[in-house]
Amino acid sequence: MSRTLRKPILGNPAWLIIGVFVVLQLLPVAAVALNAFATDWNGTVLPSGFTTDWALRIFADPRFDQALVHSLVIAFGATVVSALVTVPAILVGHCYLPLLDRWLGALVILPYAVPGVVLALGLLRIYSGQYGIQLNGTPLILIFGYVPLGASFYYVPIKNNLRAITVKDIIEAGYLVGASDLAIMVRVILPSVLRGLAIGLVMNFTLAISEFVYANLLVGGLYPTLQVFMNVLREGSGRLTSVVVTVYFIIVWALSTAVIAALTERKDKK
Amino acid sequence: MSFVEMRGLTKRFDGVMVFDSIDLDIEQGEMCVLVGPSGCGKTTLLRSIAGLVQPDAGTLLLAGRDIISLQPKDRGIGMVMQHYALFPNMTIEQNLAFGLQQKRLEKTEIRRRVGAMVELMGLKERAKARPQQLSGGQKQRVALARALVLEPHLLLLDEPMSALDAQIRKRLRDELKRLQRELGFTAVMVTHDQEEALVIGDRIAVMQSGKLAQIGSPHDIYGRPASEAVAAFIGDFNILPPPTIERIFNHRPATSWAVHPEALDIIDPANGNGDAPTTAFETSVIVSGVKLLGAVVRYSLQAGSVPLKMDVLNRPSASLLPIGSAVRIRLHAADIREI
Amino acid sequence: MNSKTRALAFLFAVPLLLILFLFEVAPLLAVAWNSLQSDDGMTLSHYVEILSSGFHRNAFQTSFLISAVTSIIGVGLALPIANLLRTMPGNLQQVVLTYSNIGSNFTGFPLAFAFIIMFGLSGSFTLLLAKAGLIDQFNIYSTGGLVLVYAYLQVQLAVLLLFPSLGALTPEIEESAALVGASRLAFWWRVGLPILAPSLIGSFILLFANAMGTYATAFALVGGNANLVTLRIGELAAGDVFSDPQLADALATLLVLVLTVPVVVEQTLLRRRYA
Repeated sequence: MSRTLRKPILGNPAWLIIGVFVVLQLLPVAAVALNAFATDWNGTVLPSGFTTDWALRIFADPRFDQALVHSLVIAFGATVVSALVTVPAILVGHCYLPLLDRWLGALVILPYAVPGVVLALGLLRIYSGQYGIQLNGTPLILIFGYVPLGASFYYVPIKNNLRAITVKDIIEAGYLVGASDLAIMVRVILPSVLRGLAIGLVMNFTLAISEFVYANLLVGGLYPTLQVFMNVLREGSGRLTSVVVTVYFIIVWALSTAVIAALTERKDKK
Repeated sequence: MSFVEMRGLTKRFDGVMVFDSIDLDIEQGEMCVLVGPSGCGKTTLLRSIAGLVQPDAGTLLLAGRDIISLQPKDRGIGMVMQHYALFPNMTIEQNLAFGLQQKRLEKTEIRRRVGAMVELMGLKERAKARPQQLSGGQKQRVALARALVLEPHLLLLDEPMSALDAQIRKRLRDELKRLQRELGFTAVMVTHDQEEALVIGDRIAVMQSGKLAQIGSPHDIYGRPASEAVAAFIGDFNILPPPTIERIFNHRPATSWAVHPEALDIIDPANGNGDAPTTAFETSVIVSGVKLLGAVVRYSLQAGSVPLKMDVLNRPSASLLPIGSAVRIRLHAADIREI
Repeated sequence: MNSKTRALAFLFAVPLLLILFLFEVAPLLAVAWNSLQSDDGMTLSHYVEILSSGFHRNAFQTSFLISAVTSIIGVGLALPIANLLRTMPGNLQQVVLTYSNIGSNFTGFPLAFAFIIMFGLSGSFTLLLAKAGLIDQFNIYSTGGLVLVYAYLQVQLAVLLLFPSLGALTPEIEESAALVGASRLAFWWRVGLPILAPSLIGSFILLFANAMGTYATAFALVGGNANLVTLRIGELAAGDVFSDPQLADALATLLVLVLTVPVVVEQTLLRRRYA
């Protein structure tokens, strides 16, 4: 069980390297946050002074509030819809339909072979009203469009959870104590994949709130999100943009940490 | 009319015969053990009784009802699976309660029954634990409890102790037997361990290649195997075909013999026994091996070119025969099983 | 489990299949279909145009190069980092993985903007590095800049992909190697890397595909100045000057074909791993 010798923290290179890695990860965010609160930052390593002026100005801008609300609506909407649609399919495929299971594995990988740009083009062609369906320009195209993009984030962790339990035996044990398939799914199988599900929820939320290509190309100004708003602002002041970026990051970070914290707490309780 | 009646149960899979025309009766309160080598079809037969597998033909009556076309949950059957399949997200109590909840019983009633069962199985301290935190023996008890709490007419057990180590297995074997006597439930257990079968079973059914080779009490099966196949499986017989018997004992019978290792005696040259030749057979052997099996000493003997096994009690006062020594052994006619 | 159960179970999968068809398969088919259209009917002329154009071939080459290089950097850096991460306490592991998830999604404009602040012409780090005498000047708005920014995303994504599969290197395996006298180097070369090879290659392929398909980040950083396939697609689809939707679709379809090969390879590798 020993993982070589445990060296003291200060001298242990592992801690140092991981520490450096985390710092590097956060550096871009720190840079933007600094910029959001800087009075002036030009040609110097660090800003010359700090102010909350920019932040206040953004919060007072009705376009910001609107974009924020839109982003949250889409992010939560996409997360909920994708969970409701994807998770039952994964469970049902693994437990009852092996053919579906294999196809699902291939289908969720598709977005890697078919980049967002490509799909965006296609969605533009189909849902702009030529065939009677006008989804572009509304949040619905985003909510539904994000489902295939984020499906693999549910698939991989949930499948991992499922492989860790003997699904066939458990289903039979369920039959033998008189439970229906639905009861077994809801009372035993689903609770066993909650960890994987939580990972999927966080990653889908992050995806939905960070996405730009669909948001800009398919909806644009008709239902602007934070990402679109940032794009609009970039022509103007970098500071204002920085505020929006910082807000975006805080939301994502807060949510992810909350969910992960809840997850780890449950693990400790066991 | 027996409590459990199986007639003509047959199952084929992909053209291969899994079990064929199984006829078996089990009385109420009886523990019937299905024993046989791997691949003989016993587990599939058990699963057919449970309703997890649909046989191609045959009838199955339980307490007078034909249950062959019923769903598992409607059959009045409980089952303990080989790897227990406990619900991993539930505590022991919740595992037990789950089936009762499906029956839509009152919450207080459920709590009462679960509490009583937990107490009975000696699981009280671990009642709120999850399966991952339990030992193998505890998991087996929970699986048993989960089946029994629903008060089934018939309890099925699929090699319930195969995943446990020897010590625990012996203890749980006795516990299971005691429980069965106390609660009086009827059970069918599948095992490939013949010792387990003999200890636990009230009635033993030996299966070979999808057919029932012999049904009887442990004493019957062990003492009077019906065929060479059964003899090869239960008990550690010396199986001797007629030409070999002629060579060793100067006697040619009509059929082969199955001789228990414990049926062979060493003749003490000091006090020669005066049995008439027709009631006992003697021959000279060389001791080729000695194995200490605990309470029993197993000697490997060579009667000329024929190997024989002999078991004698490991009396502390007696000394072991040295390898290479020559002795005379005797076999009583009454102890010979003709097959 | 009878056929009735199966049919009912399938019903639960229908919504997903429907959405996958409507929002993933159909658009792809639409793009492919449109790429074969022109005013004179069905044609392969757009494909011919692309394949015979040095400019477009160059786009594929540049995309290919940047994607391959950053993917190698990604896997190469992520392997030691993920390996070291395994020795950390569970809570810290969760924190780092969470940050990696957020970080790998920190794409597009926000990221480009952050890097411009840090590495732009008068960016903090550019100044720092210049003061230290390490570099004269650094142009973030270049292929080099793209590599830097992509690498930031790729390493984090690689950590997320590789971390779970490192579990295959159990303490027992490492101890066995030590007992037969293998040095750390020998261990990695003869045991560790071979065991991880499917994961490493699989992760590399996913990273590669991810980088090839990146649009927002590249657009935000260099606009149209770099010659990347995705940028050309965007330009042709909705650009003001160059708009040619069918050519865009042809380019897009070609990109998909190029990416299908490695992804299929990755899938077959995966299947062998789990078999």
